[in-house]
Amino acid sequence: MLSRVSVALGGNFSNYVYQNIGSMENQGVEVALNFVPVETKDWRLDIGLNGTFQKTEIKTLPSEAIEMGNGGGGTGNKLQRHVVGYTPYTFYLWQQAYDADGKPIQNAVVDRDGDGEITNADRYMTNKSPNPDFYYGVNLKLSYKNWDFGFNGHGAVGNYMFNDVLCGGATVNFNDVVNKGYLINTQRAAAKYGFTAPNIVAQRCSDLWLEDASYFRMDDINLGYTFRDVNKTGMSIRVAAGVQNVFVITDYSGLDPECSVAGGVDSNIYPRPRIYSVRLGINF
Amino acid sequence: MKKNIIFGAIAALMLTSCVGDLEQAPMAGNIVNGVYENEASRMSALAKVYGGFTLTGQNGAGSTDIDVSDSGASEFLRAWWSIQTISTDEAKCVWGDSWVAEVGGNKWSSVKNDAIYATYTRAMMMVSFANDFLRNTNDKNEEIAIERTEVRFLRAFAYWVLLDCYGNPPFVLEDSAVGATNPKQISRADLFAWLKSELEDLVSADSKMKAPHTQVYPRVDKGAAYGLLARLCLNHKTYIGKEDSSIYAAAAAAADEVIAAYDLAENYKALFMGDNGENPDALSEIVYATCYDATRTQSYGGTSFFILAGKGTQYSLGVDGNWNGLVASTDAVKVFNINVDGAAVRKDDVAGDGADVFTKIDKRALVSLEESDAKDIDNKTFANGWHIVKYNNNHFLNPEVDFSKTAKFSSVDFPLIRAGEMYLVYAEAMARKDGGQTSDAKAVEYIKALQSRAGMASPTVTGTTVSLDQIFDEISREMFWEGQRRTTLIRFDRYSSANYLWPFKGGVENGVGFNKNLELFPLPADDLLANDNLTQNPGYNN
Repeated sequence: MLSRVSVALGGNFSNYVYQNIGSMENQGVEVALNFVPVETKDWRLDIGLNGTFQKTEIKTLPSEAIEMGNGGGGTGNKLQRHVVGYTPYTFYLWQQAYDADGKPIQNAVVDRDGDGEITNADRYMTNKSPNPDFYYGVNLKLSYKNWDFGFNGHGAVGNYMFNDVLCGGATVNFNDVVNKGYLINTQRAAAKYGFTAPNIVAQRCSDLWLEDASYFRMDDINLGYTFRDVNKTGMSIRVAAGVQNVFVITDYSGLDPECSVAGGVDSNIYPRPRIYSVRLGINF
Repeated sequence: MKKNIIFGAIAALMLTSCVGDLEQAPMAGNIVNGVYENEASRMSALAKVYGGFTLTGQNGAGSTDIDVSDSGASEFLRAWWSIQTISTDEAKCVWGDSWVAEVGGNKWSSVKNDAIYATYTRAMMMVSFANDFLRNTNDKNEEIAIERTEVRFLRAFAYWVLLDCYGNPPFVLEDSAVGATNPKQISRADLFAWLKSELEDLVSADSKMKAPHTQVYPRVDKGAAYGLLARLCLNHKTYIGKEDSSIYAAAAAAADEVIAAYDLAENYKALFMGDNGENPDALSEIVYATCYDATRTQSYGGTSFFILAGKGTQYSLGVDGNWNGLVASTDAVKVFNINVDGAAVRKDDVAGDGADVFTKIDKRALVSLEESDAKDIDNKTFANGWHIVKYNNNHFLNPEVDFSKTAKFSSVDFPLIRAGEMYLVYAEAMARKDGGQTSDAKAVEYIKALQSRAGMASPTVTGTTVSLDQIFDEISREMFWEGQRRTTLIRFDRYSSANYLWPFKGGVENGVGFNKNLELFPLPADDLLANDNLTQNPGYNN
C-alpha cells in the first residue's frame, strides 16, 4: 500500500515522501458472461454481462489513522480516513441531527461521546466509502441483415459520494444582505433544508452531505446500416448514428455520481458531455 | 541481411546509451553539484533561503514544496501570524476551517492543526535549506563569508520561532548530512543558550556580517542579529524559567545597538504600505522584513492574507478580492483610546488628509467600523467586529493609484524586526530589570518618542518614569497585528491566565482562562511518528 507519509523534519527537503506502508487485503469475485441467444441467417444477438464483487480492507498501518480527502469548505478539513479494519477512504464525519419531521437541524450534530460538547471525538467511521461493493457492465449487439444496433453501459452499487457542492451552497449569511444593501440569491441546498445561518465546521463535515452514489450509466447507443460490396468493387460502407453518455440512473443529487477523479468528494469537476455523432466507415 | 543491419543498429544504439551515462549530473539546470559553485546559482540558493518565509513553492501562488492541505495556508508568515494572533485578543477569524476554531478558541491538541503544523514545518524547512547552504559553501571569499552570516541569521530566526512556539524542537546544524539520521531533540533552555551564543557570535567584532543598516535591503546585517538578540533576551524568562537581570541588560544593550543605527519612520502607516520596500522613510526603520511582490513572489499568504482576509467591502487596500475572515473585537481596539461608541464610518484614508476620526486620536488606530456593522464579534460573522486596515497595498508615495484595480496579491513587505519594536524592548527590559517601573531617562524618552510619532491626542507617558503596564499598552498600540501578540501576552502572564480575558478566549463568548500547557504548541504528531528521538511537550497526548 503506497501512501504519502511524513519524514523527520530537519534532515530532508520535504515533509512527506511516498513510502510502502501498511497492508491491505482485497477479496472479490469476477464474473463475465457472453452469450449468443439468437443466431439465424438474418438475425444475430450478442449479449455480454460482467460483474465484480469486491471488498477491500486495511490490515496494518504505521499509525492509528491517516487523514484523507479535502472538502467541507475552507482549508484543512479532512473527510476520510484510512483505518485498520475499514475500507480505504472510509468517510469519517459528524452525524447529522434531525428534528421530529426528519429535517436536518442546522449546526446540530449528534454528541456521540456524550461529553456535552461537539468536538472531533464525536466524528465516526461511517462504514461508507467511495469504493463500490459491486461493479457491472452490460453490452448488447443485435443485427438483422445489413442493420445493426448496439449499446453498452456500466454501473456500480454501494459507492458513496460526499456532495461538497451542496454543502458549500448550504451556508447562508443574511448579514451580507443587510450590510451590502442588496439581495443575494439563496442557494438551492439552503432553501431545501431551510438553513438560515453560516455553517459551522461540524455541519460542513456532516454525514448529511454523504449520499449513496450507486448508478447505472448508458455509455453508448448506436444504430448502423452497412452497404456491402458497393458497385461490385468489394468496398463496404457503414453508416451509423450514435449517442455517447446517453443517460444515468441514480439517486445521487449532484452532477455526476461517477466523478471518480475526486476520490469520493464531489467539489469541482468537469461535467461529462453528451455526444451525438454520425459515423461513416469505409472498407476497401 | 536487412534483418542483420537492423539488429546491428539497435545493438549500437543500446551500447551508446550506456556509456558513462549513469555518472552524469541531471541536465536540467544546475541541480545539486553545480549550485554553490557559480555565482548566479549560489545567489538563487541564497534567495531560496530568504524566500522561505514568503513563498510556498517554486511555481507561483498555489504551488507548494511541502505536503499540506492548502498551499497558501501553509505559507510561513500566514501560519505563524495566525497562531500568534488569532489565539489572542488581537484578532479572531470567522472561517469554518477546523484549524481556525481550534486556534481561535485555544482548544488545540496534538491532533493535526494546519496552522500549527505549517509554522513548525516551514521553520524546519528553513533550517534544512539554510544548513544545505552552509554545508556546501565556505568562507573562501569575502562575499560568500557575508552571505553565510545572513543564512545563519535566517536559521536563527527559524529556531527562535521554534523556541518560542514549540519549545523543544528537533535540532540540526550543517554538520549532519541530508537524510542521514533523524535529528535529536533539544531542550528549550539549551536552544535558548545556543541561539544567544549564535547571535552574539554574529554581532561580534570578528564576524563577517555587515554592520547595522549597511547591507542592501532586504538582506540582513548585524542590525537584524542585534534585533533578534534583543527580543530573545527580553523573553528569556519564558524560555529558561527564571529571570536574570543581566540578560535584561543584554536585551537593552542589543536594542540600543539597533536604535543607534535606525530611526523611527516619520509616517507610521508608511511602514505597512505597498511601497514600504522602496520608501526611504519606511526603510529608515525596517531592520528585517520578509518581502512580498505582487508579481514576483506570489502566494496566498503573508500580507496578501492580512489584507484580503481582513478588509471589508468598502476599502480597496490595493488588492482585488475579499476573503471575509479576520476581525478584531471592541476590546482589542479600545487600547487606542478611540471613542468606540461613536457610529463612525472610516473610509480608507490613503491620502492621509486626517479626515477620519480614529487616526486623529492615534495614528496607529488603523481600524474601521462600518455604520451598519455590529461592533461586537460573534466569532462567525465577518460583518460583526472591527476591521483592520493597517496593511495596505496602495502606495504611500503615490496615493493616487488604486492598486486594487490591478493587483491580485500584496506587495507589502512584512517587517519582522523594526526599530519601533526595539524602543519598546529597551524600555521593557529596563522596567523589568528595575522591578516593574523604570526612571531610566532613555526608556522614558523612547516611549515618549513612539507616542509623539503616533500623534497621540493625549499621551499617557508624560513624567519621568514608565511602568510595565504603560509599556504593555504601548506595545498593544505600536505592535498591533504584527505577529508577536502571543509572545507578549505570555511574557506578561496574560495569555492563558484567567486574570486577562478577551471575547472567545478559551472558546467561550465572555472568555475564560485555559490550561497553561497550551502556552507551548504541541510538536506535530507527524514528526513524532517519523522521528523517534522526539518527546511530546508536557500536557499533550502523543
